[in-house]
Amino acid sequence: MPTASPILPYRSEHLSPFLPWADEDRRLPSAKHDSDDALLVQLLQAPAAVVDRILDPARAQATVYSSVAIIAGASGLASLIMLSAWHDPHRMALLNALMVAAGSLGALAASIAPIWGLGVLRTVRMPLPQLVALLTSSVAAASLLLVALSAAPAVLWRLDPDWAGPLALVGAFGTAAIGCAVRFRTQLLLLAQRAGVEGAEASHTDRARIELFARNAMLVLAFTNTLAGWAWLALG
Amino acid sequence: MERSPVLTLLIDTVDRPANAALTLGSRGLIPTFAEASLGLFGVAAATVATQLLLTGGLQGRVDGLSAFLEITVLLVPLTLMAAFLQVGVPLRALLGAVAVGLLQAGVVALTLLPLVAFTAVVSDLEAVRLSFPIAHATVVGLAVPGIAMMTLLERSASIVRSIDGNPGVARATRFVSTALAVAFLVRAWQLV
Repeated sequence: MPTASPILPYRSEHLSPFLPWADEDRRLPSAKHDSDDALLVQLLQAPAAVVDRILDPARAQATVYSSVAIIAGASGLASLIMLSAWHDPHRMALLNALMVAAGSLGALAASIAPIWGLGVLRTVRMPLPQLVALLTSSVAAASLLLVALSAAPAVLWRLDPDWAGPLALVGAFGTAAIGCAVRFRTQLLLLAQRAGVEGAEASHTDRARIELFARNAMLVLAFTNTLAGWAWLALG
Repeated sequence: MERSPVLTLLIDTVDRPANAALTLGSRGLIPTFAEASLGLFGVAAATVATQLLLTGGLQGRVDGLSAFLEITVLLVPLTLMAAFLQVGVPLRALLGAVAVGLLQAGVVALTLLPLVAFTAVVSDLEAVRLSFPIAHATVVGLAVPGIAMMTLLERSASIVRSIDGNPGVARATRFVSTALAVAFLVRAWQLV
């Protein structure tokens, strides 16, 4: 029996019993995440690889800049997909996309300082560049999630423009915001593990304070990112 | 006997779907799109041929096929969401799973054609036409894209299940594929 991969639980696939199979035909090639994947794929699926990028001084700045570009592009694209369900989609479509992109970037900008301050409060102050990189990458992951979620309002708005459509719209922004908060926590805990490699291992109270800080930051992120949908409502 | 790599890939797609999805994932997007469009072509050809055999014309549109395409498009955001939730399958292999599912759906849809032709001949009898007041062309016309849809959903879900053996993932894929199958039926019913 082949050994299980440390990353992914292993299961063999079903093969037709009428064909001649060798034993290794049942084995699946390892499905490890590639560390050379594009940033877009890593943001969506591999938080550990993103944390590696943040900690690598040669790649950290490029990661932040491309995350900002991804936030603007992806949330604009999401707004265009949502708008495609309207009767007159061309009117103000571009303006709306710009406003949603600006709203997402504004939500990001608004949450940096409060989260840094919460870090001071919990005595887990983070270096500002690391915090900014962590926040931009988790908001970028959430904006990619928003692109996927924008299918729901686009479909439901056609079925029921009075209730289901608007609820799905708010729900899409809310779900993406919760996704952003969860992703921030995941990346923060990974970063805490990596940062502790050189010094002593994090003590029990250290871990508790990091966890509390993560939860406070999650609240802030969920709040600001849900309000990123405000740009949509502003146009009426 | 030496087989061409393309033929090997196609036979693997039918016989070892999870393996083929992972291979497609490591090869990149162009083979994935090629395989997906080959499968879509198979489903479309089978549906159009069914409609031609049963009614002798396309009568403006092919409803089952448009419902099939709509649900297939919905698989793309679902794939992105699965990737965000960190299913233990790389994103490209998830897209590969959809492509493998589409190819198998095309194969299955094409194999239904002899049955459809037989039904078309049999249902031309006067007695059959009198005893089935509902338009049986509608029922058979929806059955072909319907079976293709079920193949696509079941195959792509089972590929995810065989790569990531997590029971939660298994429940989630079963729930999503059932929901999409219901959505297909509702949509096809609306269109007809």
